[in-house]
Amino acid sequence: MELKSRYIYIVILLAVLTSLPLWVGGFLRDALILFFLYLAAAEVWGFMAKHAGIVSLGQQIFIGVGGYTTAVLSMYFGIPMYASVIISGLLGAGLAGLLSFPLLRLRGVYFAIGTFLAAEVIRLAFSGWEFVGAGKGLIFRDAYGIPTTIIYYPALALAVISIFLVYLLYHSKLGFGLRSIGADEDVACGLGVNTFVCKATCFILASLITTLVGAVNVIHHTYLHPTSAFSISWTVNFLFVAVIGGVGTIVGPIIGSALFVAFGYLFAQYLGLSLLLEGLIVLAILIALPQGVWSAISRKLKLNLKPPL
Amino acid sequence: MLEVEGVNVFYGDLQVLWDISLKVDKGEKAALIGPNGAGKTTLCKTIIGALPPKTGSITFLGKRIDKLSIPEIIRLGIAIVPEGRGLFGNMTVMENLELGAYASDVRRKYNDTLEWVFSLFPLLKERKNQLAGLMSGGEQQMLAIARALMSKPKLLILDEPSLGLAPKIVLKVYEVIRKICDEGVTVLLVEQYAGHALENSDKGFVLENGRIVIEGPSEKLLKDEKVRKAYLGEE
Amino acid sequence: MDMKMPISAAAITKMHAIIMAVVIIIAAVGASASYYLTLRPGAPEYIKIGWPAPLTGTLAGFAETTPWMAQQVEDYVNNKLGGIYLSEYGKKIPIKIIIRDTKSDPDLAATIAAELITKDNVDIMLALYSPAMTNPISAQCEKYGVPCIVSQTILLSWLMGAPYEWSYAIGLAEPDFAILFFDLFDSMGDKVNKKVAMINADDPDGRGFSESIKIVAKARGYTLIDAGLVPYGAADYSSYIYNWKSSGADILTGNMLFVDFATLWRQCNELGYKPKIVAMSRALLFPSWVEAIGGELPNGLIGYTWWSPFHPYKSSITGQTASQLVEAWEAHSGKQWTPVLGLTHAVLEVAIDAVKRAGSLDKTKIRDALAETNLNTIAGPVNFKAPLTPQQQARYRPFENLMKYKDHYVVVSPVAIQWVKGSKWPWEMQVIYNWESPEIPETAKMFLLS
Ligand SMILES: Nc1ncnc2c1ncn2[C@@H]1O[C@H](COP(=O)(O)OP(=O)(O)O)[C@@H](O)[C@H]1O
Ligand SMILES: [Mg+2]
Repeated sequence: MELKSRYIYIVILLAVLTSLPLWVGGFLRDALILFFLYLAAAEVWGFMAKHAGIVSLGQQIFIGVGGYTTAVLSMYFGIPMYASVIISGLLGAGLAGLLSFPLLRLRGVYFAIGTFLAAEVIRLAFSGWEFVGAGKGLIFRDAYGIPTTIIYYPALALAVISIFLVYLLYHSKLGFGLRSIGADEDVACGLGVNTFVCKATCFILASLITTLVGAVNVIHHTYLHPTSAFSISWTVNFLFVAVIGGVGTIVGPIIGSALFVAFGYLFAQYLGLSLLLEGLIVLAILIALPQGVWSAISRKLKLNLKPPL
Repeated sequence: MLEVEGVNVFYGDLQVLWDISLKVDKGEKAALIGPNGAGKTTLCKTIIGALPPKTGSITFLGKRIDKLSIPEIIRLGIAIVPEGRGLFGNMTVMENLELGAYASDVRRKYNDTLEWVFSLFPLLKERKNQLAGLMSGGEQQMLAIARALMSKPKLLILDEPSLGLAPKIVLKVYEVIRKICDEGVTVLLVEQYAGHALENSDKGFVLENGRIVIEGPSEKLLKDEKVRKAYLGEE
Repeated sequence: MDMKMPISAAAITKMHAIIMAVVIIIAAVGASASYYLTLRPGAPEYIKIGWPAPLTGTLAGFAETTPWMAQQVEDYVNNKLGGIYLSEYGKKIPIKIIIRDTKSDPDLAATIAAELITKDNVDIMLALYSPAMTNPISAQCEKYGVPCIVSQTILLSWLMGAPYEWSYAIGLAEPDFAILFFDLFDSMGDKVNKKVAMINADDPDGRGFSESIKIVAKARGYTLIDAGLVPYGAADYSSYIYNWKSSGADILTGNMLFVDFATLWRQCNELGYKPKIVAMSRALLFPSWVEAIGGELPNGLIGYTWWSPFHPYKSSITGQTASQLVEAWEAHSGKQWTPVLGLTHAVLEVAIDAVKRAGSLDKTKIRDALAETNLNTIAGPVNFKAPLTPQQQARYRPFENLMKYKDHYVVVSPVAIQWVKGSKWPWEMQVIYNWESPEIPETAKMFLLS
């Protein structure tokens, strides 16, 4: 009975979220889209980092690939936009699979550096690639006509899918293997966990979500430039969102993403200081609540939630 | 049951094991002793498939296993209790046990195996939802052994099970090891100190600097002057 | 796997409470925000001008003057003029210029432009300082239907997003620079040979410049000794320099980052390569860049500018002349003027003029007024309906977008300048060749380097 009523609340929540664009103003809709996109990417980033020990500093690869693929396919190849988004997701997942071979051999900080360097190489390649506008960037004209009332839904769907994916992953055999790898890769290996396959699968799934985030983002922002599409600041932002809220929890990034988007708007008016202010606040949160806001709340309220909530 | 023949193992260019040969028969308890750095752990890793030998062969139940992957070897029936236990401190007892069955194809018989393991370690049943990291050293060692048993091994390798435990606890650990043997599991015991290992085994091998220098029935080794001097701490 | 760990009853009720709280908060925030946002009674409080600008990051140099300029114009309009008269409301309404920092990040520029539109409800947007900023901002304006004035950008790059409905640009045309330089070389007659050493950065700007130079050089019978496209940060240019020296090229041209040009020019000096003319695109725009070359080396280097205190224009708002604006900036900041100053002011003139003529804050009316702009600004005349000059037509014909979307841009013609030792600042530019703008005085006679 208890479990059932919990599902009812989730259904109510989803109903409210799906009907929101019908009655909230334009600005809040914009903010919610950003909130969902950061949430979706930060959920999978946090899962990878905390439970599987895969700390990637190169998720911007997939933001960029998702954005460019979607824009190029629908503008230059006449493929319907929704199909372009799906194809870009598959392409991002495939690229993650390819990158797994050289990168997932590396461990810990070497993997992090490896992913970052891969992103830089791809950024340079796009900066010189005339077909996609090179350093001039790419204007995604076809997306001008897509209002935020519509973009809201794929963004919401991505956030929901990402949350469910993390939940299912955590409780799957694969997730179980990943958690053992995250705890001690050598021991996991000795127990017969196929560490490469587990890590690669996790990396591919996370990158699939991240690619789709990049795809929806470009429909929203209608412009791509290699320096920002492949900028490390994407991954740093996902890291912030995950860490402020509580890395490795599902609720954490929800709070983290809300705070992140709110800070962005709040501090924007302090010209030239916004970056500094944001940094200081995040630092203060992390010093006061090193496990993140959500972990502190759930401990304070003695919620005794089982992971990964 | 397990036959290691002429095995040479390298870490990169550095040779660590030289021409190792040993045999463990079904139902036997064998002991492998040797000082720190002799290559005992390396040999364990080689048997389980974590390190490929450069030359030589390893046969288990009549089947060459030296080219197989770890999960395949585990499925054939070898399990290891790693040196230093290798438990997942942030996971519960239950989760640690489940990981022991991760690679094996006994998942269908998972509940039977779990019952069997709990019958050997009744304490773990009581503590199944506790975090492994919060248990005492002795309990952790029991859990490590229990976890290895979750793959229903025919051969159990224990890498220094008495490491870091108080003498009284070590006795308990060995009591359990004897019980496991009685259940029909073949055991390869790896220890730095010869006492318990040789007293609880049928035959022994002494490994020094990557080579087997002495082998024979355990009773005989216990009387061997060199062994007594080097591994029983006698003058 | 056993995953049915017991959850305490207390945890479940708390969970319920939290979910309920979240639902209520979302509903409340949503409702109040949409109420607040749709509530716009009577005459508006302000005419809002949105200005996302790269105040920090790699493009910060361009936006250095932005906050000051905005403040100056806002104060003048609101305090001296009492606002802008809007016929629809029959009264004067003050302006409010809302600047936001894009941190030089194109994606953030889009986010901020959307925020200015949806949250601050700006009536008109300004998008300046390089395609990386102008393109994402004007794309958002197109998406939301907000009039947008684009400036200080490369038109060909911006026109990739054409056709535009809401955006109008006062920009620079790539094809101009190569022709300007060659017209200058031609004017030297026999004093220089027709051999041109060339080097370009391996980036879109460098590539574009290199292509145009190749076409013009060939058409006019110059021989190019081309070092090709060179990556950023090269440490040794000696092999190119020896090549240029042995071929006796009197002219050196190209398009590079100023740091790389500084290295190149120092090495030319060390290796004894002495061209008579050095005409560089991009590297010699800002006085601080020129100064960074060091020593006496900047003396006589040639570049171009699209604005200077010598330009004989004045502000349609404040009546300030170009040189008065430069004085005001230098007095305020203690820093030397840069060519960015002029267009930074001109966009505000065009914005205010469009709103004034629209007499309304209806976005379509403002946009229609913007399209009809015919204003003499501090950066020269702005009239989107004016036809291209015959020379421009000839130059732009190969570029389809420039021909097709003439109604959405005006070109600011560049003039050639030479850097010389200054009286107030270490290096100051003199206009040596006014090219197609006879109204701009040539303030000094060009000299050859050797
Ligand atoms: N990963 C490794 N890389 C290189 N050398 C190693 C590695 N692991 C162990 N060794 C070396 O191999 C030798 C045997 O080590 P080990 O098998 O751990 O000995 P034991 O378990 O008998 O104490 C030692 O000299 C040790 O330094
Ligand atoms: Mg060892």
